[in-house]
Amino acid sequence: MSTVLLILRRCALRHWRLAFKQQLALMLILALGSSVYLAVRLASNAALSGFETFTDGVTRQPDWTVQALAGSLHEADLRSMRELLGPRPVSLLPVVEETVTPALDKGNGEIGSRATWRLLGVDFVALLNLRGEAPAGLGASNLQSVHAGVYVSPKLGTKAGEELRLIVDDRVITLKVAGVVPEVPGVPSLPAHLLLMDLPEAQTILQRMDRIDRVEVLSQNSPTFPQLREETGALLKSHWQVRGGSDRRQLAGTMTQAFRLNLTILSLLALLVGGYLIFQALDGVVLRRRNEIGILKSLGVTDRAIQIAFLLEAGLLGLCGGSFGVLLGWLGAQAAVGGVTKTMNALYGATSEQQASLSVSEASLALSISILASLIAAWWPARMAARTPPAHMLGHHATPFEGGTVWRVEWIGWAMMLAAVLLAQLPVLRFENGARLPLAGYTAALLWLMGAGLAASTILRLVAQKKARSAVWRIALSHLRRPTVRHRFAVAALASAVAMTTGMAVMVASFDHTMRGWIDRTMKADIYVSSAGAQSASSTHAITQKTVAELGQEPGVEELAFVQARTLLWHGGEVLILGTNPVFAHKHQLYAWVQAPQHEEWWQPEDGITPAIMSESWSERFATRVGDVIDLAGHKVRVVAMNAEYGNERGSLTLPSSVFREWFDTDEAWRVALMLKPGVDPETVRSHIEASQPGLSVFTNAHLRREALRIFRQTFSVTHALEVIGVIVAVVGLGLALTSLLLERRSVLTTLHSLGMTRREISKSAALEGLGVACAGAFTGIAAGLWLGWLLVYRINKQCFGWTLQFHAVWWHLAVLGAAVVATGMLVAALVGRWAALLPPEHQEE
Amino acid sequence: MKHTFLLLFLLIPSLYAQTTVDGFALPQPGKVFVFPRDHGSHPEFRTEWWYVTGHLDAKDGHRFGFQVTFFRQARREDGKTLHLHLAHAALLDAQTGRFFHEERLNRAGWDAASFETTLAVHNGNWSLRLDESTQRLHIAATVKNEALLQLELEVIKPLVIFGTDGVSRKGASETAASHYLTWPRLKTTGTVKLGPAEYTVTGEAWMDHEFSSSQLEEGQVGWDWAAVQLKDGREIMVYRMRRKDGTLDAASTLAVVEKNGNVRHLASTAFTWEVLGTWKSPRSGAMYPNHVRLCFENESVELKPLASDQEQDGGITRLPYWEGSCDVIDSHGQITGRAFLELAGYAGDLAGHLTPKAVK
Repeated sequence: MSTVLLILRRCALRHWRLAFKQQLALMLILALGSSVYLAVRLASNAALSGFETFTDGVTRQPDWTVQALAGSLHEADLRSMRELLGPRPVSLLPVVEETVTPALDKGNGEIGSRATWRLLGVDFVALLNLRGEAPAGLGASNLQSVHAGVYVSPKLGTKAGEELRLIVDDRVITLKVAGVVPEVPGVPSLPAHLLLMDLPEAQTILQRMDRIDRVEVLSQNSPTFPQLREETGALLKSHWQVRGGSDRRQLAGTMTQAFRLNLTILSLLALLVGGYLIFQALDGVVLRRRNEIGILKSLGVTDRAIQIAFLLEAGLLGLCGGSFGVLLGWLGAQAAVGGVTKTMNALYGATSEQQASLSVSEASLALSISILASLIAAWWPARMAARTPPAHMLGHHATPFEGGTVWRVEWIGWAMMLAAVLLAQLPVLRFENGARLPLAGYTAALLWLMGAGLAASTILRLVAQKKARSAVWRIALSHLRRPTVRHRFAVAALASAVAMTTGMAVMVASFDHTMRGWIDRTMKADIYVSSAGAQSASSTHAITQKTVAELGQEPGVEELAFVQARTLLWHGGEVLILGTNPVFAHKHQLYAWVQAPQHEEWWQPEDGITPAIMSESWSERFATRVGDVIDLAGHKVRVVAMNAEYGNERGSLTLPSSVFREWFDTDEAWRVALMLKPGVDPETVRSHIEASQPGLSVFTNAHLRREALRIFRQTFSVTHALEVIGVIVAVVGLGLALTSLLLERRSVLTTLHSLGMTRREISKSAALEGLGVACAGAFTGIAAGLWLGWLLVYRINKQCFGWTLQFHAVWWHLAVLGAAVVATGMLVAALVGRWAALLPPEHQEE
Repeated sequence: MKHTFLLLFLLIPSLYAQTTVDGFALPQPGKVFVFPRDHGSHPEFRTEWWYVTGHLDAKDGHRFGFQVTFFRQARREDGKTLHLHLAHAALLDAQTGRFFHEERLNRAGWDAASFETTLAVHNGNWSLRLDESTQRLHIAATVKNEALLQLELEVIKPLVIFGTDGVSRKGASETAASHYLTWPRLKTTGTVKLGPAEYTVTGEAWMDHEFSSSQLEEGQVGWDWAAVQLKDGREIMVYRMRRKDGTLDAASTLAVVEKNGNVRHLASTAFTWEVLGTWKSPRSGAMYPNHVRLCFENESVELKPLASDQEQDGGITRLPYWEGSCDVIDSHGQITGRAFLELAGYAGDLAGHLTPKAVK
């Protein structure tokens, strides 16, 4: 071991000092790679924890949450629950819950720009029985009356006695702040955007007399009641929808799993590109230190010691880069959390923006990944250094060193690509609650990326076949004709980054294209109305029938229809149930059919079974086919058609409005669509409604289309940032690879200089070499990216979200991407060439 | 007709005197009780409770003291009457001295109610019900999630109505009175589950049902109460209303229920209450005189607690009190019965908590 440390100190660290900038660049690549991964992970975790704080907060984690099979729970249900549980010591805490929006927060006019808070109505008196398990200081003590108003978290920054103007459903109301709930150590505290209100008052405010949204159940096991939790769950499940307290978070986790996995995989791209670059850099290091390695071997140092010393050096590099990466990652997470949260909110609903906090385990994971990537990348060069005989290492007349032969065999790359094509044919992995994992698809994408990177050398050689007359061109091309491992890996890194970017660009373009078509087919009303508080996919703000009727009375309105919505648990997952006026939808052809119904009047029941339309996501998620009869909330439903619905990926089932009202016992609308009389200006009607109904958001058709596309694009903002980082890493890597190559050719450069080549010509030659590498990387990357795009559109996206997209590539986008990569690659190469041309002959490393 | 008007005119003042200022009913002498209706709730009164205490023995020699109490407390708010249901459950494991207790508060509604037609009260998973077909009472209660009591109580001695002409006085003022109904001896069978062990138990219990609208009067700070069941078939009920100045209110009384069910009330001057020992609560700091000797009519009855710490901490109401199972010892040192002793108002002035407050 002492020999290893001696080699490490005398050789490796000495070189680090001499070539400090190069080492720094390598560390930066590693830091960037691991930091992107860490940042995305932290931001995703923070966004996910936002789900938890939105749903919890009243008590410690409830053991069970009970909801009606459909609609609301009533007092009679509560009595039945207590009766069913008998003498078991179970706390039942009824809750009404509603999203509310501060009326003063006008946002910037975009959907999602206004804050979404939650108003929870809980029985303050009953809460006293949960001392230590619920927030204290709610004023219901000493048998005296409860203070009217809302209780807030100190984090909200309001004081008792102040007033809050809130949008509740379609109304603007003013609530007095009755108190600020103190934060007591060990007792659950209120999240910042949760407002607590005494149950009876909340029921009055929300106009839900006798109705409860859910019941939180506390039933802890004890030696006296060893099976209490399980017994309680089993008894309640016989009559109601019951889920475990942690299920909601798990549900949020499952729901967002595909999205988070996509992000994580994308974040590993930078690490993959970084891995290639570390490999080529260490390969160059072995080459440059071959004299030293030869001497050490001649002196009797074992192969094993040399290999270990190289691996230790790589590990050290990984440690330094990883440590810096942790810092960068934490900073990146702070920047990314907003974007990730917004995206999750748009796609999946109510999560709140949380601070992305770094834990020791997360930091260790990022550090380990950095070290592991470094070790894997160093494995081959270290082995090569150990195994090459001393005679090959010593002397300037030794065999030209071109790196490991395995990595020069291009068929490995092609084989990987073939395996990817085969894997892409495999089906998705399905789980109980409808969650899916396209494992084969992801593996195919990874193999394809790596394979394309390795096979890119073929293109490099094709580029090098160009006939050239000038010496500058000839020198440049001669290096590409017999590419070293450094060349190959620089191309591979670039090709991988460009392929991923191209693939994502194709998917986004396909999405954009499909969405536009879908919007054209389904958004035909002149005006759309929702509650002003409806800011995300899960906002529960509703519009009352009274308001709907008032909207129908608006001068200029010819026709009106509304959509009702509720969520249900089905097969362990949350689904959206919609109620629409089928006659209106049929008349205006508002459905985008994937599989049209056999009968035009699909809403007419056959055999007394309720007809329904499922979305594509539903079909993909639950493997339901058109014609199937399913059991839903105690009712039999026949799926008669399938429609395209890009609004949510949980899956939706559309019922005729009469059935919906019967099931859920509500006539509240979720969204209202207005058709105007011919010649009426939508903008005038919009302004008029907004002025008379301050609790509503009113959109003209054109405005809502713009918003829909903006929200859709916003969901890809984080993705774009990750792609850019991948390409930057690849281009920096190209510069590093060329630096390494030119340093190895120091003597050749001196000779060329002596033969009369000017520095400008040497620089130009390097730039052309870089151009070749960049061209090969960009061309292979774009070509491979098109297939990757196909994989993402037709396999991974379909399997994750259930959406059928039309393949669409914006060619000029790809051309710009290719040109930018080639131009940047050439520029970096020219700069490196210029620096190399200025190197004095005696310089060792710099 | 003329006479009718005159009668109405004369009755009006007395009609007013039948209620408190805020409209709650006051106990009226001569009230005719009708059962099972009068075992049920009387929402026209402000305060009502059903108070069961008892002593249980398991076959293996384990001895328990238990208390299951349901309270109803009403208040007027915005012209409406709101009822809160408070309940206490406690279990003493006399062998280990471990005392389990829990306090619970709920609004009247789906999880807490008292029926008006018969004895049927519940608060969460705790319940007390009269089965009219068997005339037996059924209790189900847990103490936190540490103990489960499921008991059946059989009336073996007739109902006693304490006081004079159906009214039990607690002070000199007109409102300081209650209707006080008691089953002084109930044969009790059932099970007690404590940890993994389940005990089949038998024993005797005592049940008070009392309703009033303002029991404590100005100057009173608390009370001592005891329910004694003697082996000779007699029972003793005693309460002492304590005044702020340290004196005993003249309304204090001791009642002896003879073996045949006849009741004799003794005036406050006809008995003595001697403190033999005290215990200071480490939680509330209250000093409870929980070891006492009662002397009346040449009889001496010593109440000795089975465990010192039988304090209910009043976590919700902030009214700690001591209510515990005791042995009854005669002047010869022989155990002649069992008793429950209640000591209220030692951790602060009860009047401050129990007199109605203006609604905020």
